Amino acid sequence: MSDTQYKSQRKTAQQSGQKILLVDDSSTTLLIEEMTLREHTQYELVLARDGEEAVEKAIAEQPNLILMDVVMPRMNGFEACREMRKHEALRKVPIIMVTSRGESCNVEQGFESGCNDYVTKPINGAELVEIVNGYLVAQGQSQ
Amino acid sequence: MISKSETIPSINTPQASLADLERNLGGLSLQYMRQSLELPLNHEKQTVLARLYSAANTLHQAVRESIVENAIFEICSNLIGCEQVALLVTCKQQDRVAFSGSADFNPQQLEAIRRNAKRILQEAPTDSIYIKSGPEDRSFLSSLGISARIPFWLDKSTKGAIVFFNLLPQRNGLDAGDCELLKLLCAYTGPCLAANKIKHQETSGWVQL
Repeated sequence: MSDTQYKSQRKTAQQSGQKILLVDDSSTTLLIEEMTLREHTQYELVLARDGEEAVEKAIAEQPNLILMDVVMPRMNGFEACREMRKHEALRKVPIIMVTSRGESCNVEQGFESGCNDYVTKPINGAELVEIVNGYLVAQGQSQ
Repeated sequence: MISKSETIPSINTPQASLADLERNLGGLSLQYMRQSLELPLNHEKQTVLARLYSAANTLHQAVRESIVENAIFEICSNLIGCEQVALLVTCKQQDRVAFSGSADFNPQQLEAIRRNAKRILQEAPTDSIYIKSGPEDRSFLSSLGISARIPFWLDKSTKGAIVFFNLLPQRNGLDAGDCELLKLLCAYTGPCLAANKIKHQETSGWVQL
């Protein structure tokens, strides 16, 4: 993606005032996601550290997109995804799973739980912004 | 292979004191963050610097909270893509090796580590990073399924090694960006583990082999 495309997408996001819920129990991944999205997009960020907190915050904050780790304490990403999909307001919110394992069985399990997409660790900043913008720019334009 | 002298010129070997170590890691984390933010996202170095920032920041927090082993396993899993990681520390007085491992080892691998721990540490080159060179690598370390072995030091002497076994399926091998992270771990694991021990005298999680 070129810098011009980034700037264009960034502007669209800024106008739409969209919100992303970032969920991860590990600071290593969360730090990169937060730094990348704060610097290279204008989306509002909300953080959660496990699946249960993610469900609570998703209901309370009504994010436009959820970026969620799979392996977490209390409630894992797949369980949290299924729980979120039970709520009418969260049924259509894009959920992107962040997984350390990209094998087909894990990916299938993610889609079965209701997620829309996935990215694998280690996180690549450019890929992250591209996939997030792919969902949110389209969402912003349809509103 | 990367020799010791080539490994850490850009990273100042941390001072022994806890305050200096925390200051050093905090400064390094900030420096990596600034450098990362100066680059466009599609620049090849941007992701490497972001990962270095995350690793330095995680170690900084870990020293404060005395959770260094977990932090090292998290860095290896989330930033390098290896969930089978062993920390081996030489116990010279008892001629033994202490082991702490991530949760993903099977019993056969644990047995292989137990039986070969000393040789894993002593296999040449002991003072530089070993990275498996590919399927043609017929070395002893490769025969055990080891993808990389990085030594760590304290007060200029080798104290042990971080041993990486199977990488996650999406990783075909370790690249130049991974090497930067390995160098960081090489330089800071020894002092961070020592600091952890200074703060908390317990050694839970470590097994004498």
